Amino acid sequence: MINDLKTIMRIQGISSREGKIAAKLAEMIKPYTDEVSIDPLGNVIALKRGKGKKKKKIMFCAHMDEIGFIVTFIQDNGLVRVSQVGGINYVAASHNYVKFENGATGVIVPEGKVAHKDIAPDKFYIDLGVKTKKEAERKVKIGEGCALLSDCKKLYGKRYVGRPFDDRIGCYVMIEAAKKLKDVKDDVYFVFAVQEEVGCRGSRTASFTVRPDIGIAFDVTPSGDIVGADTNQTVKLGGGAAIKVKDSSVMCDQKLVSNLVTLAKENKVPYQMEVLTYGGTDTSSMQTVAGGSRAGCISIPVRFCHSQSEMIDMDDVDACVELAVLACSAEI
Amino acid sequence: MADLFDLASRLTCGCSVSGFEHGQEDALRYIRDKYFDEMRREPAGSYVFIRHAKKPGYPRIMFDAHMDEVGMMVTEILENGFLRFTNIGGLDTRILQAADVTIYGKETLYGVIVSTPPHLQTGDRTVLPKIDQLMIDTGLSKEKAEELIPIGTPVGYRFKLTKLQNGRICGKGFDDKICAVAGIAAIEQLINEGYEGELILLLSTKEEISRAVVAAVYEIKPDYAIVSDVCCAWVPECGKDAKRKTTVGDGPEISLSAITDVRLTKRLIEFAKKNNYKHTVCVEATSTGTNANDIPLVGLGVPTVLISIPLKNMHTYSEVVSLQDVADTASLAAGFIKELGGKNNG
Amino acid sequence: MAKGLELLEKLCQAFGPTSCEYEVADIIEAEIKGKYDEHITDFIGDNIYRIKGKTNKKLMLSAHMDEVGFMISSIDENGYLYFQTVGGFDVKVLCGRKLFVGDCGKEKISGLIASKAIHQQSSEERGKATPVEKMYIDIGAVSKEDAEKYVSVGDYAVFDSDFVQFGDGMIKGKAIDDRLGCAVLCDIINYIHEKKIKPDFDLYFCFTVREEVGRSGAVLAANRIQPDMAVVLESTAVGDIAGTPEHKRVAKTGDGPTVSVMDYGTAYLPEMTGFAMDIGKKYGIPCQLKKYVSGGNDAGHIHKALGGVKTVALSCPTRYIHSASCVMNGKDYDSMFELAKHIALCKVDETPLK
Repeated sequence: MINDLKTIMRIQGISSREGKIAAKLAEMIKPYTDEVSIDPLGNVIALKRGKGKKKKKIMFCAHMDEIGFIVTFIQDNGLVRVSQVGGINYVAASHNYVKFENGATGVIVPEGKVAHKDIAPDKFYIDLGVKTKKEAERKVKIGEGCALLSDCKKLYGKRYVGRPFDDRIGCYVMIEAAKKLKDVKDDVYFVFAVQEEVGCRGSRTASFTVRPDIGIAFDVTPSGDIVGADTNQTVKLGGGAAIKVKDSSVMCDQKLVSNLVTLAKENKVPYQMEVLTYGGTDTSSMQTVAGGSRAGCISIPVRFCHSQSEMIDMDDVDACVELAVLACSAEI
Repeated sequence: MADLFDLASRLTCGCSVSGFEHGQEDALRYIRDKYFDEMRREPAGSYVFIRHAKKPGYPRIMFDAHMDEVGMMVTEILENGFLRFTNIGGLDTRILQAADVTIYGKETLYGVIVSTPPHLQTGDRTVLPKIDQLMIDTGLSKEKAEELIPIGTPVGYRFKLTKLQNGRICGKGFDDKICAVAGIAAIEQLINEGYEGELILLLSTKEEISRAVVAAVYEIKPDYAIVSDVCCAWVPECGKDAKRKTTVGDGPEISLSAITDVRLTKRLIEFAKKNNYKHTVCVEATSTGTNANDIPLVGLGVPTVLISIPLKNMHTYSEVVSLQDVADTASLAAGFIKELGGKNNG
Repeated sequence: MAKGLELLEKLCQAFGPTSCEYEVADIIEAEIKGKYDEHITDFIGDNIYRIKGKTNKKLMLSAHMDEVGFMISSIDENGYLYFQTVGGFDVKVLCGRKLFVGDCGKEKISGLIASKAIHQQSSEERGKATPVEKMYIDIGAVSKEDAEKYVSVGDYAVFDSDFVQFGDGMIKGKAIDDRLGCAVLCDIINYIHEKKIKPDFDLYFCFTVREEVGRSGAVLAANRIQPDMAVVLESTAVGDIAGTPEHKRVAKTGDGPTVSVMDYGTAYLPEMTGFAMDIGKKYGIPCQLKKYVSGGNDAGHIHKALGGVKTVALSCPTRYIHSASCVMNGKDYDSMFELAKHIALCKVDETPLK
């Protein structure tokens, strides 16, 4: 169980470079579904066929890409310039190890004399420990991706810390749900989407292919029980599956939200409501692509999102899995 | 002409905060029964009304107005039943303190947004609080509030539709339901004049947040779209030198923009001029800030024009429009639909 | 002057701001008349020319016809024209520029973006760029009525800038973004016709509209064609000017087209970037990776269209883009043509589709 999570946490896959993680997830979901395909942008689309008459199409979607950097330039002295892929928290990223797709490692640091508030992508560089451009070019190439080191460690009880829980934990929830699903009435699509971190692009094309009636995203949401959180942020780590009502990209389908709440209540699944005043998820693409769908999101609370030390609570994860399974068995 | 005030009051009385447009269903059924053959709700929430063609050969013309409005949403229940909230769509924080609101919880409840008493204010008193510093006073105990008001409950402005002088009316949610009123009036006029083509009214949702309109348009596949939204009217604070001086009472404003359809818009302007329809023209070169931004590029594309009704105090509970402008918009739209639908005009 | 550059000059000189691309479309149609199997247009003005291939795999090659410009928003009592920009500008390149004002099918008249004399500027104004809202166009009209004889609200203006070859093989002109892409596509169509080649891919040459305002006709073209793969031909802003730190120069003029790794609209699939670079290497065509993440182009719309399209962007390195005086290297035109041509004519099996 937890080893599966560790496996998918450790495979790097920054936006548009998800090949390896896609292959692993496809392999993991295969035994529990009837059909697995990969679309032109690299989305993994797995289908578990429903047995019912008048079937609906339910699309589960979690993104498999992670934030990171790509190499844009190698200087004469061997220092490597990068650009960001997705929303990097530069304060959190500073002075960390990075690992490249090919295994090379380096440290990412801001230019000297740059105040925290002025830190920007072009003020960053990676030191590979090499002395010359030639040596650097043997290790990395322009256009190559890298990310902060991945990790997944138990901190205490059921709390784990590491990265990228955003959104491998969503992928994990979908796989665990797939394992638990026996016969389903409706067709259930498990989509591991690419390129969410750069603007929910993969879920757009996948939604176009699947054309779901109902779309549910599984993604992380910042938990508000940290020092200095916005007063509006009320999701708590360990508070259960977070049922999204809105974020700045989407108003979730009202009936879907209330049905999920009813399901959680009736089956005693711990849940909480999520009203996010910023951010966006794949829910918005599922809602509006082609003819649109009734879309919502089951969020996994995460502390310190987009940092080296994202934190989750496995109780929340279990609740999300349970709710996902229930969503397939009921009329939602 | 349809009773515009009656339609406006039917459409604006219920809850229609973005994503929570359910408070409108009575009004929607009324509209369906009176003018249309069919009404359906799209997955993303928009309502499509169709009046079938009585004869073949007419183009599919769609009139779009969005039926959602800005509002608030409860994020947390605090001690003594105070509610923390966030905005849905752009709210003007100048008008919030001590405003009356309606809370659409398990029951429809009354609330007042708090205002800090003067003796408790420190620092620069002219600085407006941010939305997450404000609260709604429900007058309930925390327990009762928790029971009746789940997190995620929508909150709207409380208001009374009022008649001002010269046919102007004051209320909330005219952005954009007053345009829906204009669309319905246009369709009534076309019906009365015996127009036999297909007529589609799209009341789209979630405009203030996510532009769910594209999903509905993808399914409708119209040949032409007439989008109607409100535009900010000139008010004295804009200054005498403001370039755009259209104000309430000036009639519908036609937007020329490189992203809608320049040729169709010019045809509309010509048509309005030739037939003496009251109108003004404005330029919004690269963004209209409305559904007309998105509709042209749906599917294989939809030629789109935007007609706006001037409105004062947008996104407040005291929006002001002129019913004459609404009537003028309706006749212009009806006239243009006939022009587009004319057999020789394909 | 090479044949390609003659066409480029003609295209650059054409009047074609966003949603008013007809003049450009006409030049293209005349240039390639009778050399294609099918011509498809849509209502917003995209022009798609199809050359049938041996297979049913569809390759979309796309360049946009529109250029950055201005739209007249009001005319004041003195006959001055106020405007809104259509496309992104650095306000610092606008003051004092000569323009053509007009509309499709209308006589173009000359005008200029007025700039008050330095003597008239207050000390706060000096050293500061004038904001667009304060700029206006002078066409020599004496009153509102006079101005309205020539211009109506909603008319466009574009830069008036001649096409010049200068220095060591450099070219200066307006609208190189993206008439260059259009010219290259025309040249490829001419080449295929001349050599009587039957391409492997079913080729769709798309001359699209409205790229500069981000709500691009390429979306509709992609929806219509449903391509398996797409190549976007573009211009990209480069900073290879003296004093710029190396890592911010993006690319070098004269070193061939850039192949994009990532920009604000697209994170290109590595297999597509690699494919284009490999074709360059295989045929000895100069090309370079774009060494900075900036800008965006039609690839951003095309790759997300429908169920997803594998897309690559080739861009001509261009200095001072979106100004009246874009500067590029003539050699890059040839390299761009060669690279795009070889991609268009390669076998389906040689691409990331297999």
